[in-house]
Amino acid sequence: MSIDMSQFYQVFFEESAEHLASMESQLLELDLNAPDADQLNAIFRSAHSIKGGSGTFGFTDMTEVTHILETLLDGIRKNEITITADMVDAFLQAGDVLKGLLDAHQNNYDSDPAPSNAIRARLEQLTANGAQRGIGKQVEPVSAADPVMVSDVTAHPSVQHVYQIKFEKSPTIFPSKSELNNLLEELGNIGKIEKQKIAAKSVTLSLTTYVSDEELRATFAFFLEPEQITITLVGDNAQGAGSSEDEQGYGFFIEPEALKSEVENEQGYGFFVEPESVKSAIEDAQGYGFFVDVENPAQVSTAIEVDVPVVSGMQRRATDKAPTATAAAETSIRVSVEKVDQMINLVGELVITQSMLAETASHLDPVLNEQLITGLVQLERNTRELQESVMSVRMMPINFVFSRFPRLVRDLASKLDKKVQLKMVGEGTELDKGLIEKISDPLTHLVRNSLDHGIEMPEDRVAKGKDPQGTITLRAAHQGGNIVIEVMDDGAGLNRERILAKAKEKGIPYSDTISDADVWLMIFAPGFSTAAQVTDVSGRGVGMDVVKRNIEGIGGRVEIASQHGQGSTVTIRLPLTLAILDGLSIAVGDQIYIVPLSFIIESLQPDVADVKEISGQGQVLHVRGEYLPLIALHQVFNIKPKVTDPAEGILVLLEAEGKKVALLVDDLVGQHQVVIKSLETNYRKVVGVSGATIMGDGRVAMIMDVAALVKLAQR
Amino acid sequence: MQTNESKAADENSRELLTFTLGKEEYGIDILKVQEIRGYDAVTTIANTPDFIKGVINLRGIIVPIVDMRIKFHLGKVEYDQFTVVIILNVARRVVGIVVDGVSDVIALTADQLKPAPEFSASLDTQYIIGLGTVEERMLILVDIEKLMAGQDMELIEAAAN
Repeated sequence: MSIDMSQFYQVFFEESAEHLASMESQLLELDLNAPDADQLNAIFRSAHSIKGGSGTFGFTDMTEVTHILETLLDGIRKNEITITADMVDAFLQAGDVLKGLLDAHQNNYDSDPAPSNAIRARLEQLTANGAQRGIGKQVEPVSAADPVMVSDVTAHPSVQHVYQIKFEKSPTIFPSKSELNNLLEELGNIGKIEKQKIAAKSVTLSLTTYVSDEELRATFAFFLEPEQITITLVGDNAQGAGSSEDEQGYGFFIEPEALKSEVENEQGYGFFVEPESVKSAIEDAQGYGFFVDVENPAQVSTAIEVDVPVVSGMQRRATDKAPTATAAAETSIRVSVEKVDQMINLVGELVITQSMLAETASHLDPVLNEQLITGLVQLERNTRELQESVMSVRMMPINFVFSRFPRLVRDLASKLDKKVQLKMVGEGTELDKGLIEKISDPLTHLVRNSLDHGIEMPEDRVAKGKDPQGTITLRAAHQGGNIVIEVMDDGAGLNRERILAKAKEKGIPYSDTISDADVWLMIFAPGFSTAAQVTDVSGRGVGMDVVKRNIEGIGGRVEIASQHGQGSTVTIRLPLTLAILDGLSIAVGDQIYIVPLSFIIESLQPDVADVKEISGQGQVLHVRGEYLPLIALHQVFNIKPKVTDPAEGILVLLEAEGKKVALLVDDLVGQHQVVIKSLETNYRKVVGVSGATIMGDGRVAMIMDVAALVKLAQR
Repeated sequence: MQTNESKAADENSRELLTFTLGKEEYGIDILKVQEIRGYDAVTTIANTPDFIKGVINLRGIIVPIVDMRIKFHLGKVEYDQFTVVIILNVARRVVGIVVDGVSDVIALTADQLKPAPEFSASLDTQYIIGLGTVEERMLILVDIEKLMAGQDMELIEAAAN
């Protein structure tokens, strides 16, 4: 085979991952009593696409599994086999196996054949049982890559052809015995070989098979050029009924000449199409565009892919029914994230420049410069809209994260012998792509926690007068400039006494009048767990601490509300984007620093009486019963301040990682939305500074690293 | 002022930007120079050595500024409208250096280049490529990339090497 396919692997991996995900979510949605035909077809098509792709790349282990999967799915969608819960489980298991195989191929390691063998056996068993009431549709026995598909032009699946085949044999064609054996094995899989004769320079055999001449030639395409093979049709045997409208024309290895007629309306994937015939072929072909421009492999590397053809394929099958939810995402373009980031940077610059202009213009006489000022106001509006629009490019619906939970809950619930249903609300809520990746792990942990510790066993629930089936609700919504995600369960709720007891055990100090909300926050302490038993799901005490840190790392906050016996709700608040920050600018000496608003509790001018000195430790501020360490910013940053006495300056109360401090500054300047710029690109990490930004007058201002500052106060 | 011209560099000669620092004249590879500008609006960074003046906003990028005059202890420094900052593109970063003045761009041929003597007053010899003679001027050729990336400049985190 002369074409080097490794450059196209990446596209295959990405698409197969998508197919597997889509297959899984649809399997979970299937109503076993009245399976929706559209969904069955969609599931079938996903399996089929994976099979096709894996066959092309020679990933025979995947092809074998998907082949049986597809056969069973085909029987189900044709109403020849009734779908059962057992089959759905098997399909889900098959999906997992395929994921594993895909991963092995992607990362170049050998996979364990045991799971594949197991799932194949299971699927075959189910097929055999299910097909008993079928019309005797044959399950093709396949163990190697099966490139031969039925084409609608020549083959009739019910008619057997007998071919006389002769092909050349030489060390260039078959460098070793195994290649020849592979070919013979493939032939053996598509039909029955008789009278096989292997000579020094050629091989002759007679093959009885259902496939057409075209497909048969295609089988050889892996090994031989057309002129090296001679195939003669010797005879035909009509056999049995079988579905004749089956043109699953996959057009894999169709000869270029035959292509034009065949590929028109088929789901031809246009794999080995000669470049010239590509244009006509790809027009209507639901080509995945793998080899669209064989001359331009660069096209593949920028990962641009038009999904439109897939829709026409779906519509073809679903007749006139409205396409399923997946089709709603059809007209899309796959764009690399760098390009989008570049665009976001440029728009950020534009915002800065525009605000500089606005600032300059604010000093001008409004009457004399009316037109200029009006123009600038217009510019500001346009810039804001552009900025929102560009930011929204990186926004994806949170469903991307939520979609993995139905499966997780299903598996975990059955593992723990609990009955749990998962409700998702607001899964269309959008958030930045970067956040999606980072929120996924914390959310998973929270859901597992709810399942493991929150929801009680069905018997306990009944005893408490609750519905034996527990409910976990995932809710996402926009609120102000943030996105709010809630994980709610109607389980046992948090136990205040247990937590306080554990806190005492760990030596964590607390006041007797501590509020419930603050008690709940204690579970975020490292190593904290009141679980009676450590399971492999949770209970070790490492999870919540990491969750909180991860969420704060992306600029968010997490809160817990709980009612003993009723349930708990964990609320995560995240900023809508990573690059823009709401900050308060403060002045110390002649310098300005930006403090991210999310860390600020309040700011106040203290009474002299509230500022106390602790010998050897520094000053503290007394505020509403609490004593906060007082940090003078001018000392931390070695700046000459305007005020050194806290009573004359302003104290900004900050909270980070559960600890509070009071920061002494000279003045509060204003509140701004700033674009975060990296200091480390050209310089290096500065302690106490998390980044820089450019103010309206063009000057640079540093953004304070509040968490580091708070840690400073601990010492 | 000639900046980066696209005429092919001769095998034998290299183009240098010359600048003065104190009493001496230095030359650096012109290709490492991004631009030359004045000194203004520098934002201080807390707890940095005194020769790192801070950062500036260079058309949207945050660029650190190092005052070479302070680094090499050349006496009292002033900042006025004549102060010159050379913006360099070295070690995949953009940094700026404050110098006393910028002279011109000259091409130095191999025969005009002599190796550096082993001693040096302000600059560690590992950063000196050699000495160049042009008419009556003596130029100290500095490997500006090595200098800026070196530990003394404290611009780059000490990596684990």
